[in-house]
Amino acid sequence: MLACGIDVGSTATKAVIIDGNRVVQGRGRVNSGANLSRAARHAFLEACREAQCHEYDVTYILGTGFGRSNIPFSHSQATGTTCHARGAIFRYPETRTILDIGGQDTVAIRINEHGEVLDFCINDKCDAGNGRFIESVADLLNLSLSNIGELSLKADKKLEMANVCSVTGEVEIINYLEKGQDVEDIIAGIFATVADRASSLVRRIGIEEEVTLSGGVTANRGMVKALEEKLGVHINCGVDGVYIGAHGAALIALEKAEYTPGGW
Amino acid sequence: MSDTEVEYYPGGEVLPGSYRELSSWKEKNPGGKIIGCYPLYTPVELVHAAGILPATIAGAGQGIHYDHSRGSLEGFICSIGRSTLELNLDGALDSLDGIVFPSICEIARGHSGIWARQRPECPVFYFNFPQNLKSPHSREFLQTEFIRFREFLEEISSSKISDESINESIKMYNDIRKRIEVLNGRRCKSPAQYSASNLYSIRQIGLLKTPEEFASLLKQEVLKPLEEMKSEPAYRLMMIGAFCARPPMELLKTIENLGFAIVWDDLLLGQRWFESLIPTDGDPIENLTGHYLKNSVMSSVAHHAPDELEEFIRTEFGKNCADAILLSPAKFCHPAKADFTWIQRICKEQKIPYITIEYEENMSDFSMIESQFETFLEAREPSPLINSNSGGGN
Amino acid sequence: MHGNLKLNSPLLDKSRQIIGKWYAQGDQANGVDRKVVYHFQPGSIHELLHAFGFHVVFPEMNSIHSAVKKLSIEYIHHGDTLGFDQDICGYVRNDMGLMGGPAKGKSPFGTIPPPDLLVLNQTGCFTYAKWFESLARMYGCPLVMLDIPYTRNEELNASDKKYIAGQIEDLIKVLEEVSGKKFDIDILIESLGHTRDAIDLYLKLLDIPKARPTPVDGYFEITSFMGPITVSRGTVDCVDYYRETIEGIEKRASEGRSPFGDENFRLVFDGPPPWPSLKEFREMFHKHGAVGVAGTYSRVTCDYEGMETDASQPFDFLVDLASRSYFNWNIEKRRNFIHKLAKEFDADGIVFHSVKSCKPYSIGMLDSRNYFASQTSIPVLFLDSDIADPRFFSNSQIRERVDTFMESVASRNLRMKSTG
Repeated sequence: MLACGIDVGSTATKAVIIDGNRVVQGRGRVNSGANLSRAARHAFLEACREAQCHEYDVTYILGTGFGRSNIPFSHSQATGTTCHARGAIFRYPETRTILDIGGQDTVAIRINEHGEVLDFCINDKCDAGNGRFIESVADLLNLSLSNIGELSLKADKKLEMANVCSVTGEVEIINYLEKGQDVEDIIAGIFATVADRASSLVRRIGIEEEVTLSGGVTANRGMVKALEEKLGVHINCGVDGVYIGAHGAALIALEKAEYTPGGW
Repeated sequence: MSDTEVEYYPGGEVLPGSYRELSSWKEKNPGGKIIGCYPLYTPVELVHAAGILPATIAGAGQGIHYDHSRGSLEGFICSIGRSTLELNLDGALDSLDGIVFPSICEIARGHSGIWARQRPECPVFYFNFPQNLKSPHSREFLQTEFIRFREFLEEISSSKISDESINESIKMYNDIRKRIEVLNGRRCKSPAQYSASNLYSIRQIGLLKTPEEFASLLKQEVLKPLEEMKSEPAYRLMMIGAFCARPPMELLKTIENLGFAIVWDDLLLGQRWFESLIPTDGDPIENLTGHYLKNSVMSSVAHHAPDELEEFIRTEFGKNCADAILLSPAKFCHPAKADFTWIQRICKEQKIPYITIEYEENMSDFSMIESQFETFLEAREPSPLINSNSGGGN
Repeated sequence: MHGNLKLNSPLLDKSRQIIGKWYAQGDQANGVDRKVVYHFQPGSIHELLHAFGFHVVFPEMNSIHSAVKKLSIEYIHHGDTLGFDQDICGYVRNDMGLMGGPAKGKSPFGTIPPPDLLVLNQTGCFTYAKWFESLARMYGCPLVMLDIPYTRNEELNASDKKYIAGQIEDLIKVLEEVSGKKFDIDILIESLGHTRDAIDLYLKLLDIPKARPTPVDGYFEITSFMGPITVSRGTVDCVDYYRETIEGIEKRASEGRSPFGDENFRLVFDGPPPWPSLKEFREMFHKHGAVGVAGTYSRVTCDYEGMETDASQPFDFLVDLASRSYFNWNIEKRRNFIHKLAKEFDADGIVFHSVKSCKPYSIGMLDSRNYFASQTSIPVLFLDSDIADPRFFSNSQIRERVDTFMESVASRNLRMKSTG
């Protein structure tokens, strides 16, 4: 049996296909763009190609993420928080706190040993704590997302950013550049600001180790370091942490297929 | 300013470290107790009479990071509400043996409840001042509140507070208020030689000192000769609204550097809560009660009849020879902002120029405020177009 | 299958009729034959005002109706134009915009007459004073204050009650002067007799959702049934209304009807509803089969539970009515009460709805939420929006939180059921 989870985020859409033994068979990832159902379809087909299966071989498809209601071919939906919780505990069975830094929101989640959400806190009002802000900073500095993280690790210091919104944060960056400050130090300051915002969410629900990071920032070593410094704990993360939500959705989809007659 | 003051008040401001240093006071005064006094006015006279150090909790100033408090307070809370909780959760207020919150607004009031849960070992007193000051029944009610507070302090200090000691404390605080008024008068009369920022700095030192030390400091300050005359300010401002959360020193200096002088303000209003000196003979509780009801300053946290606000603006504006009003509420301060709707109208009716800004304790960027003041000045410069029409060139 | 709570149920119709009658009375009050007093809902003692023949206007009701009728944004804009800052309560800005803006009190739901007197019962909210000070300026009318001390402990103390009683005595003199009528205590006592009857019925209504399944939504429906006890408490109409409402709900229960489908989850709500987006908010919960079984909002005018005074002690009764608003409680008392509601009503979770405009209600809510999340096993959800300004209600964000919460509660309930 094959099950699929599709996570439609504001920036990227991810799909993960697993088999009946919960082994990942294929993954897909595309930019979400303006047409979310098309993005969902493309991500799904990419995962099918990697899994070397036909789309009709997939018994159950569960949608998640902010665009989950835009997947007409899915069988059901679940929220991103629930799916991230399931995906994270599958990968890191001892994890009890998850921090998901997405494009448009950041979620801190506390779970129990079964992966059930005990408490959660979402910041979707302030971009200064989200992946979107890091993207806009990369754009402003004419850097790629792939090397912005590495650059920050070369910083001598972190340039203090006032606790303001991402718009005025950009103004601050320009002011620093005008004053001849190093880009590495500016980026380190940005990451400290994002980490500051994100960590306050985690504190709100209570930090219980192990802590896992998910979302696109898992590939950003500078951001991971800033978070570890701010939270004072080691953080589980892998470079493919962006798939955790879709993976969790696939696990829930498999359960639904296994417990629902006919898989529907 | 002595080395000690400079060390603990760098730049002349109370910062988180200033509160941590209260532990040094405890080391030097074994067995000594400290009560935190949230703005605006709390009966510091009674605290002092109990042999307890009244430490004004005046926010954390610039540079604070809200690491702990963000998850415990709603987003629309003013900066002093937020910073007080942050200071508490970060351990900066661990020296306190109790805390008193006055009934100035919902934030102060809600804080008393949050504190009670977060610090059950540090007793809280919510001092419910009456709002219906004109009611003859407010006297007995307020008197009972003073007595209740006295009992609270007696329990913390494990000793009775005599009327004599309260009267002595009232004298001490009368002295402090008198000297602050002398300095206010100096600042108003000669702002080019004695600035508002200078006075603000001295007054901040008093927030966490014993009243004896503060009175002595003020005495020295009063005796200091005036500075050399700098250029006269372009405008004399009456600064209203920053009565609770402390604006950063840099805000005042930014305004002064642009050529404005603040000749009247309601900063740290709790230190100047009374319009005259409190009587020091007879029953001190009755005196404090009567004085509160009849001689409290005008403030946005108290209910006042509409014409009282109008009268206050007219009188103070004239008395201080101000040229303009600076409306400077703290962000999210709804008591101030509610009154400002009407103060702005009064200004328009009376043709009083005014500027409106907003501040937070920990703000660090003043460029927008500079622009506002520069615009104010530019709007009042004579126009070259008008001059060129009058007589064929200059 | 989850039903949709219909807004046109007979029980709601009757409530609307009473509110409509109240607005019609306002239309007819012309300041000469019938004078107008403005007064606030929490801690209201309008029986005393009615005893002098005044028509009583509750400005918050105007703001609530503006929000429900989707007019609040227009009035708030006018309030902004008049100079009221965004940090000031949305109810105030709405009211200022409605009364001081182009509408001049004429709204689709009724014409609001200007005040002859403002009786400022300051119960729990400091903004009330500023609101009435603004109205006093706008209309040049007298303002008299009834200052209610904060419930610093479990109850008000003797000194607090004496202060309130003394102010009520003084208020009577002002009411005589403005109305031109002598105080007739018999009229007051008769009115308070109806008040006591209405209170007993109202308490019975609030208790109905203890049943499983509940035949009435103890938050969304009961909030809509609050109108009569707010505006017409002290009248026979109000007593009849609650008697009929209870009968209607009991009939519903006996016929196995529910206006909202299956009951899958039972929730306690702290906080007022987001009036401009009430329907959307309700459906976010009902679609999961989540019903409200109790709420603190139904105690905002007064917490009548345990109130022993009645018409035989008219002044003590008035002091009680003035001082028992949930608004005026300290945070520990609120927290304990919410905990009690969760237990007594067998709730699956608690929803905290913080609103930007209402600091007296919202301050401390997040801390209480944290208390429940860390010290109890009761699932909690924290949401924030506003009571008046629709721009602060983010449909997608709130829905995401509600859906996530309901998934976690479902998962928890399933596990608890399977482990017995």
